[in-house]
Amino acid sequence: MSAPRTPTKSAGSKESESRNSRGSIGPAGTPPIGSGKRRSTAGSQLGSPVARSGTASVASPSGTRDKLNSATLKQNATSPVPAVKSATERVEIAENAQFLPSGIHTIFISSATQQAMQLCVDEDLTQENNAKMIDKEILLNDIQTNGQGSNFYEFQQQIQNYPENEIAIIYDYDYFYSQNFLICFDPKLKKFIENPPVTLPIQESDEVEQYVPPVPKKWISLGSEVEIDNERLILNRSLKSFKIKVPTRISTTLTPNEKFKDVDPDIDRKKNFISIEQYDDKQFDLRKMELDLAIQAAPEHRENFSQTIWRYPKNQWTQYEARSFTEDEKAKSMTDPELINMVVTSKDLFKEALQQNIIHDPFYIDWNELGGNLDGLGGPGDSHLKEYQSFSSIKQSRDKIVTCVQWHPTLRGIIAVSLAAGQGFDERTDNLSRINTSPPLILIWSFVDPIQPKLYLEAPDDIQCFQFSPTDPHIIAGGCVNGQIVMWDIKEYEERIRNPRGDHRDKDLFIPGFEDENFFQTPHIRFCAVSSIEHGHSEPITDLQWIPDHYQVTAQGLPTENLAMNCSQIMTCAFDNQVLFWETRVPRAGVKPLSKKEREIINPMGVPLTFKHLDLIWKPFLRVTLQSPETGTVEFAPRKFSIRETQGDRDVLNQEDKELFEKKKDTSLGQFVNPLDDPNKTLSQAKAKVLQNVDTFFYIGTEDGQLVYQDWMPQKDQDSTKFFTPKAAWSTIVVDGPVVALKRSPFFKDVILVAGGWMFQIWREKIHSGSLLHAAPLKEKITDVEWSPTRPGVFYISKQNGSIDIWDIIDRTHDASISQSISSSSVTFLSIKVISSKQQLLAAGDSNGTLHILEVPWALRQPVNQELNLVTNYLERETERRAFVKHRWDLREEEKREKERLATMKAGIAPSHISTQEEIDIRMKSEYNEFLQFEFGVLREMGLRDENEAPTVTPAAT
Amino acid sequence: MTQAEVDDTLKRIQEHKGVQGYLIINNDGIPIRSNLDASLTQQYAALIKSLSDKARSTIREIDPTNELVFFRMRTKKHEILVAPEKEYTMIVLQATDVQ
Repeated sequence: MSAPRTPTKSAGSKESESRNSRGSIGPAGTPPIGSGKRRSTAGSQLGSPVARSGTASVASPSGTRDKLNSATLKQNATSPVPAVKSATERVEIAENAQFLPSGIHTIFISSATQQAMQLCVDEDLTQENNAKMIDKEILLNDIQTNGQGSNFYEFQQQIQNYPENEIAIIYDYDYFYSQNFLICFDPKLKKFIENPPVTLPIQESDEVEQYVPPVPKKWISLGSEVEIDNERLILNRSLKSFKIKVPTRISTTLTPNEKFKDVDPDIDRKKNFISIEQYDDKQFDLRKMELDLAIQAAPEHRENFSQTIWRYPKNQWTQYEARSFTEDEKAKSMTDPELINMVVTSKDLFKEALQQNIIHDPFYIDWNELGGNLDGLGGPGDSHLKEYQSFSSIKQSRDKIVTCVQWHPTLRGIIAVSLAAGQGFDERTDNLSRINTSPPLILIWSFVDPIQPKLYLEAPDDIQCFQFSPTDPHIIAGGCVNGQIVMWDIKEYEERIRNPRGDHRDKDLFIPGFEDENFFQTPHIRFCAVSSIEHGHSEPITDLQWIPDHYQVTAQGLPTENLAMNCSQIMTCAFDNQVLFWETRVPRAGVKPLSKKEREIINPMGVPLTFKHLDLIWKPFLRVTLQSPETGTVEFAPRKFSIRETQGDRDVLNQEDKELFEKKKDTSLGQFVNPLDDPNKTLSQAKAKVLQNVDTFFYIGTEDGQLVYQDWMPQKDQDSTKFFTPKAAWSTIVVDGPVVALKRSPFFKDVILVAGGWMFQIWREKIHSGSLLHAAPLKEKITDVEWSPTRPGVFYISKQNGSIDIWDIIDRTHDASISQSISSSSVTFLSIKVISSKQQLLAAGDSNGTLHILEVPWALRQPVNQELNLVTNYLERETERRAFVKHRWDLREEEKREKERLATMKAGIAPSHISTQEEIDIRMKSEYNEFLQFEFGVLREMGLRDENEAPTVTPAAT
Repeated sequence: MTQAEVDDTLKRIQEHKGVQGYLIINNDGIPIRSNLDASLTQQYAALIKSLSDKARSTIREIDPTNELVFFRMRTKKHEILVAPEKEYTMIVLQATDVQ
């Protein structure tokens, strides 16, 4: 109890404090070491009163101890290892009480007392806050009230002796000192408890991780060194050394003396024998599949240069001469037997080769000659007409039929169409009194604008036929139903026609808001002249043609040279038995030109004055009145005509020039004068040369299907000295309906295609015994025909059912090669135009007012190899046939006459005919007349006889 | 065989239909006899000679035992007949468009 307090002990109490605050590591060293030391020191101080009292105090609350022990024992039963641990703990706890400082005692305070003194465990006191001060009085009161039952009873004396008022009670959380509380009776310690050293927690917090190397403590001798010395082994004699050597084994490889022997593993298995089988180790069964490799090729680079020597250029030349032998040398060579031998041996070779070439040409290529025919009709190429474009004016084309289609002679892609009401004669007469508000029109279309025509040409009445002037394309002449000829001049609008863009879309031309409405509308052009009603035709004009520019016709019907070389004359025909010739030029006694003012008055419609001089007073200058060949028959009502000369064909002129040239050469002997340069010549018609070679005969197709061969040159009536048209030279009925087309072949001037009704025929001029080609009647009525301009043997026939037949007389002559439907309504007019060498367009107008433009396929455009020859031969053959037929006719006639004569002789009605002298005379005279006729014809052809002179024919009779 | 015979042969060849001319040249391409005009003779002699040499070597190359005897060339205007012998070559021109 009164044990001297040593610094060590205080340190130990301190340690206990640190122990109480569990987990905290004391700065004075690790507890086990410290405690171990203390133990040893305690061991050395065994039997101290504190320890004893500690153990004695333990005895009283042994019940709780036992409880605790039993609990630990129970634990031991379940797990022996912790049992061992707890056993040692118990020993430790028992021992721990010894280390308490002298002023502190362990005490057990029951829970009731705890409540009374406000010392409840885990409420008032916790592990951390484990000290409380309690008044001495309270403790003494507790002892007084409870007597021996009081927990503080054993410390009554010490409490009473305690100098201070308050006594510190410390809560021992884990029974480290074997009881739950400690009580302190040492005021110094109490102070220490009240104010625990503050350095400890500060050091804790600051240097938790700091390593403080342990400092060895000063060794205090307590007698252990003697024990160590006693234990020490001291060598008192010298050590003995031995050397033991084990014989080294010699390597087996170096000792061939080692004997190996075969051992049977099955038998000697037990004798430490292991056989190791070889096997594939799966661990190393990885195969290298992909390999990354990189190679870099470094280009080898080398620089090299060389220099060429540039020599100074020098002009050099050499001259050489072909080697040749002199005559002597040649002669010498010629006598060389070798040469002679050579010539003789090769003679046969040459002969063979030469003869071969003459007999048969081995290099003749048959295929080259065959070629063309394959591409003809029926060949592989497409031979159908292709629709290229079609023009139909919604407003204007309604209920109208196309009467005529004409291509513009010079401008490409411009085509004019005349539309007329599709009325019959009766309808027309019925409607005659009605005023037609919309004048009949000719529409001029451009290929660039298929919607709106470029121009409208207004006509006084329905136009049946019209034509552009071939030399002045801005002038158009048309033939009306009322028998008038109408002239237009579209010169002012040529630019408009030519303009490839549709004018009505040219809105950019105008400033917005200032558009000229009229500009966008298709202009209506009034005609500038119509012919006089009285002097013209009295029936609808059915055909109209400009006379070609290389000649003109005089009032006497003489074809003369046209020095102006432009078309000025028009030829027309109508049902009124007339073919009329019209002159468009101002007559020589010309009207003087009008002043501007006058012009304005006269010309209110803005019509060009080109033909002002003709308007309403225009008369034909030549009339060809057709007479019926025999009295009593119907007079010819011409519907179509065809003249021999064609526009642009200068053959006649050339021929004239040639003749003239020859003549001049003959007469003037070298004093050749170019007729055109002849100063005597003027532009007057009178002095223009008569062209002998122009044929004044022409063909007329009539309403009744006749073909008439007529001379337009009037003849002088001997009695009245008046000129009248001669009778038709020849006429016959060729087709079974009105002639609708009479067209000359563009290749053969004398070949005429005539069509009408359901038939068509090909005739040759002056071969009047019959047609060259007479096809079987077609199933549909023919409306028009057109020759192909490039293929001599091809022509197109349009029919009333809206189809076009294409005939190729090289392919077949009995039937059309191709028949193609073009329109749902009747095709009324055909017109073909060669646009370029690669394009040919066929314009077909129908009775709905629509104009179809069809592209002619290659096969119908491109002549077959030698086609012209073939067609010529064909026509020649047919002509010969006609001659033969005629010959046969004559023969038959002769036979017939002979038969009749014999018959009459047999009958005895008349004696066998013995011609009297008179009869013989008459016959001879008629023969002579025939001769005279023939002679006149010959002379006229030769130009030796005047044209107007009639052949002197002596009357055959009397 | 005399020179007269040669003349006769040449005359006969000349009489064939379409024959325009002949010429005989030696191995060096020098014309010995010709009825063509001088410049044409020179040209034919030089050019046909080299051609026939080439043709001969071609035939020899293919078969060394073979020998070129005669060849004909067809052109648009005429046929050229060539008979190359050892020392001399004979050429005849014949018009092809005889008919």
